[in-house]
Amino acid sequence: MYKYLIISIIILFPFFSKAQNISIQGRLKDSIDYVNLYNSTVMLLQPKDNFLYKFSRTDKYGTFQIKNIKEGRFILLITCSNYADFIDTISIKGDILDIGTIYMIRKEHLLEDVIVKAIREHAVQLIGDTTVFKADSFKVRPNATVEELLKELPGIQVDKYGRISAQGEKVQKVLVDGEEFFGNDPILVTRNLTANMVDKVQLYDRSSDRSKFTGIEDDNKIKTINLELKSDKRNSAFGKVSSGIATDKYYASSATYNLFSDKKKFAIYSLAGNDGLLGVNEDQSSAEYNGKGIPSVISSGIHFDNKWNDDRNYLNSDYKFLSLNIKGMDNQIIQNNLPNDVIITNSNKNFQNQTIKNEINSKFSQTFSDKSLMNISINSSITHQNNNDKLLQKSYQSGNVLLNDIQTILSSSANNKSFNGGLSWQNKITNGITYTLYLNQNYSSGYSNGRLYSKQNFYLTVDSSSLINQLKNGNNNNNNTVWSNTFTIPLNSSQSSHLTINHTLNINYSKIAKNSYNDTLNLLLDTTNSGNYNLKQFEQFGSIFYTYSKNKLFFNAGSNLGYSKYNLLDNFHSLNSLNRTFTIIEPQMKLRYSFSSQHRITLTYTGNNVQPNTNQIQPISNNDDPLNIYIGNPNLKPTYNNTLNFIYMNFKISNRRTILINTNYTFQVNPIVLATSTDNAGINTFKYINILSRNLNMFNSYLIYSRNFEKINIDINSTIGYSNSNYMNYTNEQSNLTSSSSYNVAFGINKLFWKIIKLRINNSVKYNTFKASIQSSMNNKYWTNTLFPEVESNIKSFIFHMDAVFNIQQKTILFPEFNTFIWNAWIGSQLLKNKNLLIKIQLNDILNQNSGIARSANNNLISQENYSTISRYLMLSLNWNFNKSNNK
Amino acid sequence: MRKLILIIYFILFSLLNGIAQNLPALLNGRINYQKRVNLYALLDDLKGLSNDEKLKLNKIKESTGQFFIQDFTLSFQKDKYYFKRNEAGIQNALTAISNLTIFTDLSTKIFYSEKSIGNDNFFISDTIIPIIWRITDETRNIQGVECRRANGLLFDSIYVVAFFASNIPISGGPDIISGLPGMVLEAAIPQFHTTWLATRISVEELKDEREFNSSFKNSKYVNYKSFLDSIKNMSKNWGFLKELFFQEIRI
Repeated sequence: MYKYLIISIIILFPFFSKAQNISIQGRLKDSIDYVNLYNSTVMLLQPKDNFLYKFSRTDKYGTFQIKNIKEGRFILLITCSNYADFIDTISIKGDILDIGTIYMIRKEHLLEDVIVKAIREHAVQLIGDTTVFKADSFKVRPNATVEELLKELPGIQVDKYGRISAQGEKVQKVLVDGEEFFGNDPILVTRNLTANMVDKVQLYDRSSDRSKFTGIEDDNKIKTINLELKSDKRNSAFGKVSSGIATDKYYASSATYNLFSDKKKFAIYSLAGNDGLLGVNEDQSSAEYNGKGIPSVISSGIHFDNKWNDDRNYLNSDYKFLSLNIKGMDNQIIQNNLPNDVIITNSNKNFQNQTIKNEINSKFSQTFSDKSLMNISINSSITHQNNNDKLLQKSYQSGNVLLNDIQTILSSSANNKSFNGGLSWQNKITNGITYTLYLNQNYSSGYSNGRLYSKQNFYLTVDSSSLINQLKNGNNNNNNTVWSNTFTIPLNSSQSSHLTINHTLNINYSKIAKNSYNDTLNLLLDTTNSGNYNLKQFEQFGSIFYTYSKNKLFFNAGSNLGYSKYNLLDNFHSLNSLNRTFTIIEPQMKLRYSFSSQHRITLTYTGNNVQPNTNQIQPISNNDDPLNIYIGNPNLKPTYNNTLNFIYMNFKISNRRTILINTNYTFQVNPIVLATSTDNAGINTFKYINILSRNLNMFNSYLIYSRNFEKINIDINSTIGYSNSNYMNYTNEQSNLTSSSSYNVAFGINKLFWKIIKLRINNSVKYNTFKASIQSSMNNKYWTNTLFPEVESNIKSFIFHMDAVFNIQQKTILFPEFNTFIWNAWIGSQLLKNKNLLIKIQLNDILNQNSGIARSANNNLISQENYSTISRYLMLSLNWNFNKSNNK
Repeated sequence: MRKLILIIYFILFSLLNGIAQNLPALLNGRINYQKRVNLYALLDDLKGLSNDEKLKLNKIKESTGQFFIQDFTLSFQKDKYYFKRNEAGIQNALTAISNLTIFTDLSTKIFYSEKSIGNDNFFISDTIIPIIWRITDETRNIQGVECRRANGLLFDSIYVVAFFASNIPISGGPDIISGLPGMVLEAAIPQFHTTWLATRISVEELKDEREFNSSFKNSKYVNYKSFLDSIKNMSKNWGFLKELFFQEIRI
């Protein structure tokens, strides 16, 4: 136990050396009978590396003296048989340091509790907006990955796919030592690094690059986890090779190799699989796997970063390749509530989507002197996509009267290239004034080819059938330039308050062309379903922000003011250009008060204009889905969003109690909503309109409480949440007011039995209500309950693991009761001396109940989907971890 | 039995030193060490050998066996200690040193060593070779004495592990290993596949100090650096195993 004392005290201090004539002296006595302690060893260690600097022994009178010491900080380590080690950090200056009498505690009198409390000192801390977890304070099994460590941290959850959520939000980035490591896929970090490499886990909202350089907060914040590595683990070579083969042609294999040194990191990975757990977590919407179909993935990447020239230069680069092929079936039932009728649509889709992506990200930064810093970043990607969809669809009115049936075959292939280059330059001018230049250039282009075949039969109107057989191609180019200048000016000498002044230009040019050809041989252009647009956007705004930060208070307020010009030229139909100008008024306020480093409140307000996008103003007409047609509204006005957010956080160290309250209220003035009209044949026409009479609002709030009961060694966590949103839309000219609410109570426990069985149970109960003013007889109210038990036991070298998801959904007017019980288990044996080799037999979805069902309700549409997905399989796999520390 | 004597000694000692009851320290005595070298592992580390040399090595392996084991005795008294090989002349095809004695005077921080390499005797005297030590919190019981682990760096590059006894307050140890706040009872240099382990600790008064010194009176000493230089000169004729011999001679 006194080992922990050493660990807790070894904090890195700079080590200075100066005068040599200093000496330290003191005396040792027993803490109970005050007897002098003779011949005890007194050592001075250098704090940065624990190296023995000098030592001495006590004489008959228990006194000691060490002479000729250099100035600086040392760890004083006193050892004496049958006594607990005495450890303290001392700072030596002047001539003689007399540390007086030290009373040594006999080992048998040492209270374990005292030591345990000492190590928990900084288990959780709030520093600024960052929550810092000390990794060693949370116990995990040997060889555990960072993912397993994250599961232990209060307020953080990790699902089966490795997706992390913290404080109720999705974590999108995981950094290593503050720097990117394979971009946006957190799994490449969390399943690659081991928990014992991590010193601290920091959780915060990362601002966008622009906001980071200009100091002006914007909306583009993402939840980020940063892993600070232990300094002695920075020098190592490690990795993992795993391979598994399963029934029903499932397989998964991956290999990673990492070589870390003090200033350099090199990593390489490669993976292939179709079990839905591997490499499908790509944060690009074009290639995300959402559980539908069977995904086959091949991916690999290489990463390198290096600091040199006294850390003045830094280079970080990675390259990634991804090939993702998703195949499956999707069956959907949609209920459309009309003012005096209900239309039910039944559709059946076969899909096959293929994505191939190559991506390079690179960042270089250079510090010129203490005064200026330059960053250059380059991101580039090439994506190729192939989609093939086959759709069969039937709609019924008033229960069983057939309205229409449609058969569609849609195939397309697209190539997209994108390039993004950014430059920022920060320079300190005199009197604490800082100037920042930020330039960003983005260029993307793409072209697509495809074919649409659609056969439609309408039964309630005269023109009873139609056939579309078209070739399609498309082209788009987008060019975006951002130029921003910022000055930060301190208002007083103590730098507790400052002013930030900024001017930003944002220029965007786009060309969009889409052509449909009717006769596949002679290529006759279908003018109604083709389009060619030029879009110019010019945005200019200035901002001024005031920041005050002293002691416990942080206050920041200001506003962006400017305008945005929009020019849309339709080259194809009218040759008339559409000009619009929008004003930008975006006030923001943030107030944070930290009672202590474990206790704080934050209040923020943001107001911003949301401008209508091109698809809302003038979409290119599209006949891909003949039952759903979108038309534009050139008179749309921007929506104004007001968001208020309140966060309260309180951690207590001794029992790890966490209280977290997060409340969010948004109201939209002038909201843009969807107006739908459904004709007799069952064709929906959509148009975006403003609602002037009414504001829409959304409210959500939750309270998280968790703590540890030390005596019985249980961690508990609980969440109470409420959310409500009021929405409005128009259906056949009639307004439809919908209101949905959900009440949520969740409770979980986490306990370790006899040091070998780890049990984690979480249960969440939700009550959902859905009200719509149209067809109020179809209003929905139902309970859902989700139970996640997880057991893991580690006896000697055997591991047994079991987890399950038990889902109960109450019967509703529309849907029958719906229960699933997905049960997974694996057993494994750890072989070799360091337990580095794991042989695993895994049974996924033992009861074969993963049927792939999703239900949703929005506006006046309620739908249930039934799709093909990964179900039961038995997998045999082999995992080998290797680790070689290169420390001297 | 030996442990019992040690325990009795510690108890008696603590009774005699009435003022300070806690720490019975062993100031005079004798420690027997066994040094083991894993020759096969050493040979496996050799790189870039020709086929001919590999064949030769295989023959040598047969003649030497896997471990080369030597016994040493370390006698210590207050601030002086004497480290000596028990039987002179034991040697095989893979070892260079045929005999060794080291006398170390901690009060002046100077060691006097006599190394026999083949038929040549070398007399070396220099200040104690420094080792940078990092103290850890791992402990181990060796021959009934509690020892703490320290990891060290020898010649700034060679990793050394040592377990030292705080209860034997002499900064000594086997061969070149020293500099810790207590006698080293177990040590290892993984790179050289070499370990030392105390096999017996006995409490006894040693011979007179003058006699202790006498065997080192007449020799002409060279310092450690010039000793290494002359070894480097000699080693030119040692063939492909010279690195191996040089390693052994350095420590």
